[in-house]
This record gives sequence, structure tokens and C-alpha cells, in this order.
Amino acid sequence: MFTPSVWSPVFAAGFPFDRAPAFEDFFRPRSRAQAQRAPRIDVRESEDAFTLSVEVPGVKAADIALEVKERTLSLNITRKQELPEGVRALRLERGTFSLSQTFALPPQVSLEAITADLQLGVLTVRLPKAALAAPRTIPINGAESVAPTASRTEEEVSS
Amino acid sequence: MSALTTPAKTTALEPLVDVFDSDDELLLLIDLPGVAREQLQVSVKAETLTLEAKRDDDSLYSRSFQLPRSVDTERISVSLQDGVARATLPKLARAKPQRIPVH
Repeated sequence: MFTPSVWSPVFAAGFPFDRAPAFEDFFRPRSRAQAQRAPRIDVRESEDAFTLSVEVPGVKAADIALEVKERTLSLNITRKQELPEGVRALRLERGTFSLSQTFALPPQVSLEAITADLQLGVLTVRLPKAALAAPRTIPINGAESVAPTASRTEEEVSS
Repeated sequence: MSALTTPAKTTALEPLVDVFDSDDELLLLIDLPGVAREQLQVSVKAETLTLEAKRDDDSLYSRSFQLPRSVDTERISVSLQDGVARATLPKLARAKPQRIPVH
């Protein structure tokens, strides 16, 4: 369910001069719960991969540095303040952010197969697990292993 | 790293917004990461602009803005790129600054 909250500026409907003061209280402190200012990071695990998603609205690929070194993934992201020209800022909530975080990679992650994708302001890093070898029976070599071969030979001879 | 289960969100998050003013228009930049164009709903009702979005992971964004009278609600336009919505709210001609000649 949506629970839309109306942000209501000080705006006198019957003000004699329409001076449009509507966005005046954009600077008042906010009390309601808001989307976090720091990028939100989610980590999920599936059967074949770990997936790391980071919310980075407005960030271009060039502003992201992703590096793997000695089983450590390091992620550096910066978002610069977006200030359009010829305008006056009335409210600035989005601001800048910079994220610098390292992740120790679990042993099953295949380092060569890591991929990253930036879509809709969300960075998704896929960390595939190395293909687990199918269960395999290992034959035991020894004197008795020769016996079946020997008996088959005998059958061939007798027939 | 371990498997994390995100608790179900029942209330909508208020996205962060920047507001800019110029003689011709108000400009709103709204952070909506993970929102695709078809998931964003923008409406104007009773001089209130509302943006709502439901993402693939079912989390919700919602935020409303009461519009000043100077905004021409017929000409509001919204675009979405890289998880940021850009709402352009042109001002009515009569609300723009005018120079009055002195005779």
C-alpha cells in the first residue's frame, strides 16, 4: 500500500500578491523517515553466485572503480553535486556521496568470472561460484582390481 | 558474505530531492534508483505533484510536492535517467519577472 505523505510548504492561498513563496520551507529540517543518504548495499546468495547491488542514482560508469586483488573486492564510488547552470538551489537533499568499501571474497567465488553492470542507477556485481565438481567415485587400484579382467579373459577363452 | 533476506517493506520510502528555481521554471531532481520508466507514476491533482514507483523488488517510493501557483501544471514534464527523475515545472507567463517600462 502506498502511504503518500504530502510535503506542504507555507503557502497562503489568499495572498494578495502571487509571489509564489511555495518552496520557501525547503530548508526546514526533515523529521520523517527518508531514503538513506548513503548508498544502500544488498548482498544476496543463490546456488551459483553471490550478487552485490549498490544503489547509485545519477552515477556514471566512469565514477565507479571496482578492483579485485588477493581475494578482496574493493569498490569506490563518488557522486558529484549536480548543479544545473543559471538556477538557484532551493533545497539540496541528494548531495554528494562517496563510498569506499572492501569485501572479502568467499573461497568458492571464481575471480575470473566476476561481472559488473550499471542499470537504472543500480550497480550489480555478480560473483559466480566456481562450478562444483560432480560427485565422482575414485577407483582403488590394487592387486584385486586385476582379477575381473582376468576372469573375463577366461570366459572369452572358454566360449 | 551470507545470504541476506530483506524484510518486506510496507511503507514507501521518500526519495531524496534537489529543487532548483529559475525565472522560467522549477526543476526537481529525484533519486529513484532501480526504477524503470514504466514503473514510475507521476500525477498532478489539486495542485499536488505526486511521484510513485514500485520497483522489481516490491519496494516503494512515494513523494508529493505542493505546487506553487506560478507553475503551469499543464506543461510539467518528467524524464528518468540513471535512476534520477528530472521534473521540469514551467512557470506561467504571468509569474515570470516582467520589466515594466517607465514612460
